[in-house]
Amino acid sequence: MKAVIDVREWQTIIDMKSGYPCPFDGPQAEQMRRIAAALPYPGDRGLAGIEWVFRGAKAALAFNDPQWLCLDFTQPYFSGLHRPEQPGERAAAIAAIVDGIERLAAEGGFAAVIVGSGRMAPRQGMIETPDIGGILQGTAWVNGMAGIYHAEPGDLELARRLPHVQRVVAKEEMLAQRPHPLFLEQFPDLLLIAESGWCFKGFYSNNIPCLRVDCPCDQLPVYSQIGWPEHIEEIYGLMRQALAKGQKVLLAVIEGIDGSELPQSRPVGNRRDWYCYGSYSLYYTLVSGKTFYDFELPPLFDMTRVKPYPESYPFSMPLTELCADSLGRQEGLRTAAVGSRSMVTHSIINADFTIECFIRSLANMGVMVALND
Amino acid sequence: MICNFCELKCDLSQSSLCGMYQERDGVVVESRPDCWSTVRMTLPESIPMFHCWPRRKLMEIGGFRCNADCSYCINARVMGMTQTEVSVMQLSPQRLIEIAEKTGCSGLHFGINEVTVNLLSALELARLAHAKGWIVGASSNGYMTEAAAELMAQNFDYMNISLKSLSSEYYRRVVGLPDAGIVKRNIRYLAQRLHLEVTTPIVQTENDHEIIEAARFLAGVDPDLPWHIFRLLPEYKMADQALPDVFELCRQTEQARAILPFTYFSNFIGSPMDNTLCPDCGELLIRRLCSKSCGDIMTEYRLQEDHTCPRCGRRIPMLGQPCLD
Repeated sequence: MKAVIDVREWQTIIDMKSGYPCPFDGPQAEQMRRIAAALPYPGDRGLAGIEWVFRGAKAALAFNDPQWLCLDFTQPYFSGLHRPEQPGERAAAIAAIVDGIERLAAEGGFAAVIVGSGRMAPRQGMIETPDIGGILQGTAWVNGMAGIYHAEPGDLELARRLPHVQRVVAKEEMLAQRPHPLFLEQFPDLLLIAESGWCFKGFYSNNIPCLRVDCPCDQLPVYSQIGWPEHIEEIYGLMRQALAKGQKVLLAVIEGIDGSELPQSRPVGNRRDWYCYGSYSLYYTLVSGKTFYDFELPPLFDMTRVKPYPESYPFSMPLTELCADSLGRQEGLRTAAVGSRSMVTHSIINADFTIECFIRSLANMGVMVALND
Repeated sequence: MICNFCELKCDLSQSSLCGMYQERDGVVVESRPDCWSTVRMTLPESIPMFHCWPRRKLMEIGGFRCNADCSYCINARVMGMTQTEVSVMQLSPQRLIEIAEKTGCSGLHFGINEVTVNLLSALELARLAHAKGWIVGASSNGYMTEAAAELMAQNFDYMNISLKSLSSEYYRRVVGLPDAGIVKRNIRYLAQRLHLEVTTPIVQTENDHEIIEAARFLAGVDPDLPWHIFRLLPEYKMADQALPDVFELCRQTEQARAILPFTYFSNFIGSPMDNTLCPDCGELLIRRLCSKSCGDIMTEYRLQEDHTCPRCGRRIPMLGQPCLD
């Protein structure tokens, strides 16, 4: 994969595996440079970021006329995360996204599938874990889950007795599922899932307090023009069937919305064993049809793990390789992905052509336009 | 009683500016000891410390509040200067060291906020870390008293001081501190006492014209001092400020390197100005990638074990050896 990274008024072209600048000339490179320069990312909050995704989608249509187009929208997730939303702000954002998808699908001849990633609950409070001997590791964004690494004897019982913890999952429970080796390596000794609205503060937790907390959703809202799935894992199969019939398919993921906010949607099963899909794993199963056990990143992974030196794919999350299972890599299928979910867009969706915002830790570093070899 | 940690020297019988110290029985104590907003693993390249234990896993520990009020602060919420309450956790020094050890860290770095406002807690942690043979360092705005600088020199192995400008007028207007001379004084002092690197966040049209003059000042302190010109993405009160011009700053960085050879320009993805080159023969010695916000990774290391250039033998400033596991 080669990528143009545009940090506003300055660009570089890199080889995504090494991270180093590489030669890449010709009409495609020029077109990618122009696209990147024309699409400065306006940020995650507000309607401008939503419009940016649609402008990017149109650029993608012009670039490789994709048969499968994947869009991701994070604005509803971020809009009320750190500050109270203004009246009507959220509804306006969701309406702009849904209307835009409908319009784009009609103009491009796509059958649309829209998935909401589930509701977020107002923050109720923080779960304290003073007696746990192991190390409680949170994440920057998935605050409703935490992992205990280096667990000590007795931690399991202590964790089960913690107020506002609805479930404790031990690493041993994963063995029977024969997960991806790196999944197992990074899975915490104990994974804690909070009750709705409760969150954890620990090693690696975000230092910016969130007003809302993601929470496990047994069902996710789905709107589909290619048939109705029973379960979120089935959407991949439906898309493949539609594509095989010659239909063009647009998959859109809208983060942070529930069924009441997605018009004409139906609730679709989202649970596999103890886990409700969300974040990276949700994208993985949508684009690959595989379960979260098959992905190298478990729902909560070890942030202290440093990639082997020298690092491969230094711009591509903690992944050791781009997601080869994605529909985005299907041979003979033209694919594209555009979105504000930053590196998830190229790493997991991994389409032929990608436009994504380059945001790390909330810092808007620019835009990346990538082309698979 | 006057607080003698920060050069603002607040009268603790009144309210102190940072709110982190108080007088108790004739002694200055912390208002909220061992309270931290951030505990996470980091690498020296992310701080940035480019000439210090490359790729060594450090535990980054951040508190909250600050003695400055930078108009562009990217951590303003953590500084407690907005209305949102900062999310903190209280951890004993022993517990923090235990966490660091279990996660494979062999050093501590105090960052996120100004270490001077959490100095007593930081010093206790530094003592415990040194007892294990670890390294300890901090990022700072450099606005500490001479006494506090002395404490830091005694207890830290390295520091990164932010020289935001050479001008006191800029400090007053943008940083909320009265005197650039204090920071310059502390840079001169700390450069003699520990491994020092300096960072200058560039605010377009505000301090970008000072780069060559700042390079001359720093070269006068130590001609091999590593200096990080930082492409600031301003937030807080300056969120609408134009971003620094990469082409122009690349040009100025090249000019600055003629004065201060270990000058870098980073905090934009794919920066071509974050590698270490031998000032004498031009050999590429350390290759890095700016792959995220506020952070590089090291991708190639070619220095000899005695920190000399393999081609010409020129000594390169470097504290410690790289971790290439």
